[in-house]
Amino acid sequence: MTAAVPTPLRLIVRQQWMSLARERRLRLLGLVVLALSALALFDAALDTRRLETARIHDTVAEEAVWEAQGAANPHGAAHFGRYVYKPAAPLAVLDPGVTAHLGSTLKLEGHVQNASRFRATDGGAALSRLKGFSPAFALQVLVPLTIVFAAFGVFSGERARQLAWQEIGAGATPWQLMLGRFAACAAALLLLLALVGMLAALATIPAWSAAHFAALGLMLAAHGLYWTAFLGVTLAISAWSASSRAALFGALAFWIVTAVLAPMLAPMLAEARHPTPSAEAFEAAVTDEVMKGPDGHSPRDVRFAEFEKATLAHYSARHIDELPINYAGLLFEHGEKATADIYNRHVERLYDGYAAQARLALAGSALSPLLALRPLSSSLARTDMEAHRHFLAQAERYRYETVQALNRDIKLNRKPQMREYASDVAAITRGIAFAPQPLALGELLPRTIVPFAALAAWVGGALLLMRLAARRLEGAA
Amino acid sequence: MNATLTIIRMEGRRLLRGRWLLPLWLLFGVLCACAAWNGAAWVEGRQATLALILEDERATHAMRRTQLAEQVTPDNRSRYGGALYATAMSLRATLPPGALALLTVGQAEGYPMAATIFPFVASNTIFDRHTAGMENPAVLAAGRFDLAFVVVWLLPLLVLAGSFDLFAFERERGMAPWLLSQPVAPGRLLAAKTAARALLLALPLATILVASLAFASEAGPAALLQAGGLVLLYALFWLVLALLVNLVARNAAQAALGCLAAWLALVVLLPALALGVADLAAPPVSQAERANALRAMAMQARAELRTAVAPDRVPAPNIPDSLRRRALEVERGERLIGEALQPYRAQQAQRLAWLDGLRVVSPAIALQDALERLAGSDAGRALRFQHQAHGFLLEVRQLARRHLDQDRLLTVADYDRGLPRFVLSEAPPVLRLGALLFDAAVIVLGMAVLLLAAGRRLRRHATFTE
Repeated sequence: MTAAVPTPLRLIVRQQWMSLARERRLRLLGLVVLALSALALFDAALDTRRLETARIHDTVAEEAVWEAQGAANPHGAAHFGRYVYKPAAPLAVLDPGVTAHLGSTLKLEGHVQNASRFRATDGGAALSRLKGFSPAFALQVLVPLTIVFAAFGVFSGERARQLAWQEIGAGATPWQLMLGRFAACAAALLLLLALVGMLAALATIPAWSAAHFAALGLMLAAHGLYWTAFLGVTLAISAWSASSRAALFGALAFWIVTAVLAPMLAPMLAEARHPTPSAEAFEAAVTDEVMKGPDGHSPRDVRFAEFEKATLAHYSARHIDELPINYAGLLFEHGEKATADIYNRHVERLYDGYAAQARLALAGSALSPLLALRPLSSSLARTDMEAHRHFLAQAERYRYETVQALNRDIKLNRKPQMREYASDVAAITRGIAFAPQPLALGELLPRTIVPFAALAAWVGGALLLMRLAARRLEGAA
Repeated sequence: MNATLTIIRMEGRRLLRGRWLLPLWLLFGVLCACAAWNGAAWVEGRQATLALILEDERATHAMRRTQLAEQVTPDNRSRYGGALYATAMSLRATLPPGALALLTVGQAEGYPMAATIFPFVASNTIFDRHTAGMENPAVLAAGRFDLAFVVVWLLPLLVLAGSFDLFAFERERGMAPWLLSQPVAPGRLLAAKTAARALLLALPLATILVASLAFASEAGPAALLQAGGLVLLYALFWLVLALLVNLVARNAAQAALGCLAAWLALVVLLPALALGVADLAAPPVSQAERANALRAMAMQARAELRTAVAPDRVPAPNIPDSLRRRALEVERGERLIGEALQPYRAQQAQRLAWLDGLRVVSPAIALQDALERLAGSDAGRALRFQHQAHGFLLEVRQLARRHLDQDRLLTVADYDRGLPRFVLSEAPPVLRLGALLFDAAVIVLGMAVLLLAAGRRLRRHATFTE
């Protein structure tokens, strides 16, 4: 009976794996990163639960305030407005995306489409500027740093070089050495990824479904590609460098540029290329357009002459007092539609600008894989701008329906002789419910193709660099 | 003393020959220039927005003055209430950026920069129009690339890159015993080596920052000196940290790892942990809950006054009686809102006290705080503005009340004289200086702790042969 002889590649993988496992410093570093990720996940899960409880409480309280109006002028009630609250995305536990910088509350009122308000970042102090710690930060910034420290010395330094020469002398090719060490380190990363995946799944038990696991799996796969690319580049730098210090500097510089500077500079440059209007400039542009049209509050506005004529003709009446409906209510309805159309156009333009910025920032993924990972991960977690826009669109439909129901009540029930008109506004709007639905996985998958391709290209590029570095190693040997 | 100077000179020469010092200065210069340009663009955008807000106020007043001068007649007066009634005055209060605003965006985007004030508007809603910004959240999430970021985050990395092998290099090469056998005390040797780096690394970096600020802003010499002094202290802190790491590490790689770990701990992890502690000890106010509570109060005020409706007077006064009823509702609502707001204000004050107090945890937080105060983008200034804007609303409300009592309409002369204007009163300089000194003291204290640890280590392991 003969024992199976392991191939050189398998031997190298095993040797590198043991070397990694024996390194006390790396074990400690890995454990610290895992502990920090777990802590951040736990904290994020608690936070999500707290926010969801608060959302339910606020929804009930808001409903009570709306009901407390009793009999009120319906148009006045439309101005008083309602508040709606954005549900937390379960996978925000893993990647909060831009959640902290978007308000989770939206005020809905007549004539206006407000931006969401009450951002988690509002009302802070200097400490807040140094940001909170999230699992995404651990996975996207700290893990690559750990990779740098774990892999910079794999080929650099006298001891590592001597070992490599011995292995080459024993018959292994430099490419096999490179692939073997790569596979061993990648296996360690895979283990970390699996642990993070398990923790994330445990932190999101209430959301368990096939679609949830598919999104989580894709997020983890994206992180796996990102880490692999980082590992490949670090190994190439290690093999390329003359000394371990040069390898450390090279890999650290790569980390600083790709994980710290580029992700910060790319959105900034994209904004400089496609400037976002200030809230005041946006409102001024909308108001300017609205003011060009007739004033919906004033039936005496001469610009309503044509509308008045058409209405009288429609109802075969000679004077607005003879109409079977309330003319002011009809004007409210008409005005609301006009302002909603104007707002929709401007909001569309605003979000087109955001999308153009996002495309430009994504183009920066040629320089940094993190610029591909971030939008990919946050879109799968439904914590990106598209997910927010999806929520805003549903809220706008609800706002429009509510306001027009109130206006319709005036149109149908207010009699010309009534000096003051009041109606049970809660009863009018009772049938209109707001139940926002998150983006379905199928809707967001097309947006993940380009970032996934960019990450795959990075892995391919890293393998190419490794191949070139292996050749250099061969030449040196 | 001569020996110390000789070591400083030699070390300086070695650093200059290393061919990395000039690129490092250049790199920092480029980073500062980029950040200053970016900061200046942000300030410009901010000023444009404030100008737009004030222009809105000016245009409204001009339109109303024209209406009074050219369109209002005794017959159509009721259609021009906006121009005639003091209760409809439309005013703005704005928070202008500070002279060194380009230094850091700080908290400026987390607090309203303006208030829209009408005498009858509920005081809790005057900032609503200026609270939700349109900034791309992706940009906010990435963080603003301003001078504070360059200094707080990147400057330590540059200082550490230039000093991580302050003594580890000699230990790694086995030169430490030889050096320590010379007739120079180890403490003096290390102090001289550190001083050389302070002169060639910390001082030039602080100078570059001051030069960038002087070039890009209109700040006076006092503010520039304060900024330069704080940055120099911060750079020295990291230099002393590198010294301590070098007393522990046995080779350059260990020293590099130690320096990076310290950077991660002090700049990334400790602030995050401190924020977590603040969240637990003093959670932020739930603004959604507060909004609901205040809306409920407004409803209560309306319901209470609805029962006591007095009939309109005949003949009708200049200002309709409905506005007097509204004034009563606003007054009652304000009292109820004030009571309802108290617990939220206390909670917010407690949170800010925690956030402020926790800056002692890391010199990075203390420096960020100091730079925000210098830039005028700190939470304190924003809250001061809010307080004063609220006071302005109450003044305007009193004026409207007088007009109601006297049944007096606004006239062209009122518009020509100018309606009330808001002017921000800055905090007394001594208060600001005190806060800056506290921040500086945190950095100095951190440095003192590191020096003590270094001295202790030096006494225990004077030979460095292990």
